[in-house]
Amino acid sequence: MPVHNKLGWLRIPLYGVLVFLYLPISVLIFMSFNKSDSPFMWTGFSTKWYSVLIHSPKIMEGFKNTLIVAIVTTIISIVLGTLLAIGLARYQKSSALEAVALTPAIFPDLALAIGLLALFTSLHLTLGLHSVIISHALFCMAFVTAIVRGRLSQIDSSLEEAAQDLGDSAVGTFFRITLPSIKPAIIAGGLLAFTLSLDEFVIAFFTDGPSTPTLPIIIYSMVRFGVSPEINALATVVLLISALIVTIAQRNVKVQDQI
Amino acid sequence: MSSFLNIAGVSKRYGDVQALNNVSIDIRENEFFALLGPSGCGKTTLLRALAGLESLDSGVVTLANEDLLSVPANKRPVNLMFQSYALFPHLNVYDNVAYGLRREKLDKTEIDQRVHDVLKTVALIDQKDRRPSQLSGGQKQRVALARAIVKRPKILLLDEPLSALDKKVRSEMQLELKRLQHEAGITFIIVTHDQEEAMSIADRIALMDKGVVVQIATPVEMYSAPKTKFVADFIGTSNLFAGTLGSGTITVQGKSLPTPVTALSAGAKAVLVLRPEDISLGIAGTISGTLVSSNFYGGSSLLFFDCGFEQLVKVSCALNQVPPVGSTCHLSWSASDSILLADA
Repeated sequence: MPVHNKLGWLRIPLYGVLVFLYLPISVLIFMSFNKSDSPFMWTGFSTKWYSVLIHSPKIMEGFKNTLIVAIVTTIISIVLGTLLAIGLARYQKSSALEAVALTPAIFPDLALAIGLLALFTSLHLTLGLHSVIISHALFCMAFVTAIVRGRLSQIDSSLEEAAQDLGDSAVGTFFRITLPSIKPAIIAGGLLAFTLSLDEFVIAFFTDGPSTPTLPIIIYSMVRFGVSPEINALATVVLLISALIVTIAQRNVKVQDQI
Repeated sequence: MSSFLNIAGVSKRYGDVQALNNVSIDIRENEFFALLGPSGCGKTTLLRALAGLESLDSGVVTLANEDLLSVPANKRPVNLMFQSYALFPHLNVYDNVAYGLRREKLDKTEIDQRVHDVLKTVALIDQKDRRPSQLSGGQKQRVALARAIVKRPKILLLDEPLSALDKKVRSEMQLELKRLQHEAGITFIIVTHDQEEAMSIADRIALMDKGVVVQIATPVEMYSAPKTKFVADFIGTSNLFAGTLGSGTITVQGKSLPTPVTALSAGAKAVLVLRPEDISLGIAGTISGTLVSSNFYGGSSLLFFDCGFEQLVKVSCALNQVPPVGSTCHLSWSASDSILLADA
């Protein structure tokens, strides 16, 4: 008899929790195909809200801003996070330093946002996408560092010594041995940084300039005056992008485990 | 023969631990040399220093009369086979072996030729497209070996190369290593903690303890003429009797045992070393004891006798002559077969 049949009455709380987790998201996706103008009343199937999205210059502008922030944040996080991870793993074996490097990942958003705003103001930095990128890179980098650091502690440090012993230079060893060994972790970390930045609201809200709103800020400003139906469609799109990226990241980590 | 690799007075300290203390060893060309010792004796530190992966505090190392220590690891004509093998997991067998040759910027046809030759030598030509994760322990070991010798180093360093293999494969690989060393004409320096392995494989052995070289000798010399109690204890199986010298005898825990001719004077502290195979069982003997247990090793057995000493006396005995456990036997030996060492 298959194991899952033995769950018995435990199936009730299991399905209850699953419904609790996924009902709001399901309603969102379902209602995004609603023909009606009211976001709460189902009148028939339609994709018109998706075309409203595409034809709204404001939303497309926000989408572009969000993509710029997410992509640049990802690149900065990957480069700095990987270098930091290598430094922590290979050169400076201090647990205090490691804690300092990884803590930004769990900073409360609000504290980080207020702190960054205060810093930017005192430096007389004009706010815009660049300040959002700096802010996002600050906490996204910690995630990349954590993932790459974990991978580095799994790989045998004698691989690098072997490469040098076989006549490779330090730079050659890095690109031919170290980087390929940690590549899956870098990709996974980068994708995570991308999704984190994509829908980040609190920090962006505090550190962004008024002329370049990101998508979450636009959604927020739209919702303030009542939930319009295209919000459902927009949220569904953001959800799909995030889900897709997380799936790719997880597959990547699994492939890496098999090597 | 003149010295090829000359290690002169090298020392290395890690914090409170003196890993190498004024170590000097001369190694000849084409020699199969073993660095033997218990873990923490400094043998691996010395090997890694020769490879250039560890720096030394003091001392000089020359290879064919040229300074070795000033050459960075990736430029040394020396290759190391790692204990963990350190095969590159993202490269297949062929690319692992070709890695070092590609760094020498040799042309493609030569690299291909040399990689194929060495893979044939280690019988892995059919596995050349496999990843390391798809190989058995013995195969990984041979890839690691091929990857190091394909560079044609002047010296091949092997760090516990056989420790990860099971006993049967290990003895096959010992033969394989000897054959390869002979064919390639390369000086091999092997690090091991297994005295049987060192004895069976090496031309000469340096036995190390706590960062110091205790004795450098051929396996036979080291077995038959150990310099110190540590050597006698570490190499092979032996009975050690510590006591005070008389004239022609040594008093051990109240019993008097005959000694071989010695330069040590009466009254000195000494250790009498007696190999189990030099003791015979008979009706009359120097000492007598009760058989406590016997360990069977195929052709012969090792018997443990309680002769009234703190330690049991070990005697090796042919299989068909093992007396029943509990019986009393007389143990005899010729004094000239025993070895007398000063006890520090």
